[in-house]
Amino acid sequence: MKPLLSVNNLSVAYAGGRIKEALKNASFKLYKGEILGIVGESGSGKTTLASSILNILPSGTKKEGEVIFEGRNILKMNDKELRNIRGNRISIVFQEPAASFNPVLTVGYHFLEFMGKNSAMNKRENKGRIIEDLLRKSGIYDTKRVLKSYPHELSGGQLQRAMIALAISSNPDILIADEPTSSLDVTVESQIVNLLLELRKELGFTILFITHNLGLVKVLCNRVVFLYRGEVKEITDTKSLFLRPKHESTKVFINDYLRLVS
Amino acid sequence: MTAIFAGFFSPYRYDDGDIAYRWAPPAKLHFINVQKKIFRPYVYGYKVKVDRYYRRVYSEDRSRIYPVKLFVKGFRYKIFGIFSVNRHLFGTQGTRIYLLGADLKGRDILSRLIYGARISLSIGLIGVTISFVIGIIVGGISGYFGGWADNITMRIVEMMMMVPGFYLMLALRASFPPDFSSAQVYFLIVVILSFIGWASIARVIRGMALSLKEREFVLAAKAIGLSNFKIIMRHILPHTFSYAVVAVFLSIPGYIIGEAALSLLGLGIQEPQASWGNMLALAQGIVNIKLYPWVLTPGVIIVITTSCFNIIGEALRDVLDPKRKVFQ
Repeated sequence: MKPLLSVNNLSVAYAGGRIKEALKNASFKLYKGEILGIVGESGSGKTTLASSILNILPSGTKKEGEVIFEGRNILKMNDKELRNIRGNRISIVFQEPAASFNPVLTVGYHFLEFMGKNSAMNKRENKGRIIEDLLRKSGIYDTKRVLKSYPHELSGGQLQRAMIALAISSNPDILIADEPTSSLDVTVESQIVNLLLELRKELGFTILFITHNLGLVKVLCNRVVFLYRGEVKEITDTKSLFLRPKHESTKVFINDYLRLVS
Repeated sequence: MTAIFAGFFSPYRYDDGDIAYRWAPPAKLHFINVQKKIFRPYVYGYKVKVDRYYRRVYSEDRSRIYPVKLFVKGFRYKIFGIFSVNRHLFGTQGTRIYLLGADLKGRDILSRLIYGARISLSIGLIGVTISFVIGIIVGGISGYFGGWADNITMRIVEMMMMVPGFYLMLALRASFPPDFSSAQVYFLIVVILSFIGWASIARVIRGMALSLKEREFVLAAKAIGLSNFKIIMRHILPHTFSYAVVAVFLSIPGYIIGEAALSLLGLGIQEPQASWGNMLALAQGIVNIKLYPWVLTPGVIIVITTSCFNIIGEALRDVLDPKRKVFQ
């Protein structure tokens, strides 16, 4: 089967950073319809990986290797081509919902701004209704109030739901979820995860799920990429990750997790 | 307000002088009419004697009372260039009223102050607007993009800041022909002042943009595919506005003083147009100050105005910057 997205020998080094290389020779493939987990401890390069797929790394960062999406290398695209992919074909949900909204603009403005970028969406007349439908799909029911609110007036769970609504609004092929629940409490966490699963069933996007929470990996992911200090140590299906971890660092990580849980 | 409706507030035109009244001292405003025992402001006319040093010595001519009337008819002027009106806030009939004295051509200093406020204040406001627009845009762009664009703009900014402002101003003025019409000179001064002013603003805004672009919502805006222009305009620059508002108020005095300095040296606004700077030029000689101390009033007005803008700026900073309050 042809992969939807393939990352080949990707190395990333931040300019002037203390760590020499945030990613070393990382390669993996993402297939249509699956939920691929990217797992690793803090600082193992998970978020760097997510940012390089969208090519939103800060300027001056050294990048090598390629990220192939539909036969083209995202790292070599020009601004216009990138804008067509970002948000439209590949969306991202960030870790900290409160920080990913601009504090001086209302939540509704973010939606309008995003739709304004998209001329096809901009032409539709009932923009307000579309946005409200999106929010309702994402489990926000007092849509009018939420759209008028500023980010600080809403809870983290609500903001993350709004963020997901924004991310799926253009019906993307891939949704990158960069630790979408790590700043939320457990109840909200399970709600958000269920929401992602429901939306996926309805819209059929592929999820790249980045997390350090093995419990979530267990229930959510089909396959797992295990990152350790910027290197891909293991790519396997979820079951065998827990039953037969091959690499030493994977074993340590899983044992630590199991000890914590029991 | 007073500056906008200058025609209404000033009893005379800025270039309307009567040589017979040159160097007339400020008129004393009397309030109570002793004979009739009523409250009504009035002034006496001037009596002129030429003393043995050929100086004009003015004294009050107590023989006749000239009541000061409100909303009197006077010279025609236009409000906003449209409505032609000839009413004035106050005035007298039969003599000239000089509440703040007259200058060497017998022109009313109060009227000229009010007309001069138009020029001095508008130069401040327009100059500050232009230099902030340039500074914010240049700073935002160079901070956001970084790299070589940032390097080039910042080197230019440093070159601008390296030259002492006043000499740069003089040099720029000197590079233009001296025989401009007053409108051209006005325009020129605005351009010169904003040309000097934008550099330091661009530098600060650049610093703020540098730190703002690392914030997650800017990353998120980028990730949903917004164009760089939109990210700068909507997500970066609005966050610098609380600084910019304060800085605007704190830098207006610089522009007013800059204009005054140029005009004082005769390089700015030319006679008979009034500006606070060229009015103050009369107070250059010690003799003038000794004999006619009222020519210093433009200086007093400049001091008051600039300190007002400073106080407003400081107050705004306290209001807009919550972080400072914690440490106080």
